[in-house]
Amino acid sequence: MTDFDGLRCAVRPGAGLVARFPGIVCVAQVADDQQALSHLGALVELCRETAGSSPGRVLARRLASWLGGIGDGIEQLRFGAVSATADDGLAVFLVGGVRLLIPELDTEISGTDAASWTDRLLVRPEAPVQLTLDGAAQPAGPGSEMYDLRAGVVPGAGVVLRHADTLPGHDVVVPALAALRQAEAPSPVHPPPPLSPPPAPPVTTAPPVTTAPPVTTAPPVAPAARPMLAPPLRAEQILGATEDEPRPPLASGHSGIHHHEPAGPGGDGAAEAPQAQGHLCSRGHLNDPRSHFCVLCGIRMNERTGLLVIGDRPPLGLLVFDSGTTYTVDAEYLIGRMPDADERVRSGALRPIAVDDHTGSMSRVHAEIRLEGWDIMIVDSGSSNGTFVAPPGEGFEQLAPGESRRLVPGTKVRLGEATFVFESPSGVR
Amino acid sequence: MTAASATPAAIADYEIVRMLAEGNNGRFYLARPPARLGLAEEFVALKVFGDRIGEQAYERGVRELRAFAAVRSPHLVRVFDAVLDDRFAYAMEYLPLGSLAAPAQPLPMPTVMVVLEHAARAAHALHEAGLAHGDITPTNVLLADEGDGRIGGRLSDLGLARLLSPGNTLTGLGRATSVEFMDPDLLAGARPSRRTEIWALGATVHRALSGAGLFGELPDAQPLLAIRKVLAGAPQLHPGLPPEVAELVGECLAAGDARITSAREVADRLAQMSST
Repeated sequence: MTDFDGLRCAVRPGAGLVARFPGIVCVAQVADDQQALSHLGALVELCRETAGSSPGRVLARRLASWLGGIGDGIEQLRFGAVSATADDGLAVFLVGGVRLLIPELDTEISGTDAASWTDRLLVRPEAPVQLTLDGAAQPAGPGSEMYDLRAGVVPGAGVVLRHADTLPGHDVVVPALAALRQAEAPSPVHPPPPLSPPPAPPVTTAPPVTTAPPVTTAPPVAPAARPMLAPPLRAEQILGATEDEPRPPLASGHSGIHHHEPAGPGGDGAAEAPQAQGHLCSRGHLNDPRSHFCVLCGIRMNERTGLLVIGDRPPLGLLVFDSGTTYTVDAEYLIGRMPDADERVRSGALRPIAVDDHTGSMSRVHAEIRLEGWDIMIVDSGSSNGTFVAPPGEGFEQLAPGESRRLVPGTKVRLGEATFVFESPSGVR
Repeated sequence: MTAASATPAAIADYEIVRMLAEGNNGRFYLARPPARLGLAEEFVALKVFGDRIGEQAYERGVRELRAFAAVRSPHLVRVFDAVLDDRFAYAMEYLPLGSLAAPAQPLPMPTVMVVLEHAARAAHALHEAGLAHGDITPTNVLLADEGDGRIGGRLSDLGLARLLSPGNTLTGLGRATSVEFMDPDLLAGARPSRRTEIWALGATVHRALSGAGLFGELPDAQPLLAIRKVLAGAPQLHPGLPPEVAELVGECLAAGDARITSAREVADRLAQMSST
């Protein structure tokens, strides 16, 4: 997930022009005449106008349309642009003797690969990318890797784009995650209209100039070489892998909930069910002695059940997140952006609830769900942005760090951008 | 619990072609497999989980997938590979005909019956091998060309949520209405068993053959309301179901000892209906 505008852009000296705008880096060179210079100005202006957070596809379309319209003159133009696309891609557009090189990935694309121009969409690579006018770049001097064009138009014959933290010598290994995607060229780039035959050339002593042949199909692309993508962190064969010990057949299951086998923190049912004192309903469900109705079947608690008994505590309810993700409260939880980092999760004392957060408002370890007898408590774990609790029919109130609050069914809890509701297991209040 | 927005160009060393579907804790992509797998298939379906998980959870997932792949049933999808990179993902065969929930083309009723029967047989094979599928829904019953022009069923997308994140009973990122196919006992803390799986098979048969849900239409965008509706109500069989189907579904959902005890019986009953 490379941030295009965060890349370091080292300009290589030489005859030509290098420009950088948000989402776009380009290099160009034209012949020294009035028409060619006006083309160059138009190209730079087109890039400037298209610049933005992910201009790649639009830029390719506009460049193709502009080149299709200028008629002759294209053959004297050398132009290359790389630009970001929304899906972490890199749009490459090359005209004439310009080359894109990704040495670590053995990737080389030239503007002369096709008769008109070369138009490709790559996965945005982690490895350094070079965009250079053919034969024009002077050797890079010492320290030139530290050059960094942030924005603007400067003289130069090429650029090297790389992560700011991958300067040579830092010995940072960056996984080469990149591929050519032949199958999907940037959104339909319409071929330019067939060029009209060149106007009768004025009598000149210069060698005749050939126009690009009319293009009637999409620009040809190199044969589909399958990309090499970096292997993942872990990969395991599934089909045909060595079989584990055969398991006993799946349990039939019980018809009543009161026989349930509560899962331990590891989820494999190894842990003993926590015990609790309570009343039995007439169907044998153990209940909080304070409740008048069985929380599982909803029937009124019988008079004869005034006797307290000790039994397996049933799950106390559900945490229903706004995303729909639902957790059964039969164990204690730690909620946060990275709950796995906490010792209590690693040791199995608490189960993790990992919540993705793009806003930075959720702390790595944000809040805990604790069980005390029949009560379910929420505790703020010293989060940066606080834990907010709203009992049914009331407004949100922030918990002090370390403060615990009992959740009654229907209570809403807000942590960062996430919200969940504590729901009783039967829907009966 | 939210997913990245756009379709990425690659996930691990899989080249992504396009997104196929979203649901059950992740997304399915059409992808080209890496050469290291040596597969003849040009495409695979890549399931990418929405939640970030650690290596321990990944290893539990891999064990479960291997156990799934080792089950010999012609009615289970083939799972090829599991990877952990930025996210946990696994690759399985790509079946372009769609699922019972979203078939690529309308299915005649006899085909639906055969596909349901296959799903029940696949579930039975899993149960005999000690596995619970955990997420039997019409979305996870895929359609496969049996090679002779006929369409069969493949049970897909083993529910790994409980394993990856203990206590996780319902996954987000999917349609909230998937609660329609979950035995309410699971919401109350029961562990997956043949009993809860047969409930899911019954709900799947009901949806596929009546087009209606057991709890009416659940509010898709409001998971909490969907759960409350399921917890507060009792399943209602659609009056338009043929009597023998209604009887079968009823026995899949029954309380107490009246419930059918094996998925094979569900399959046999469906086969019997097909042949008469």
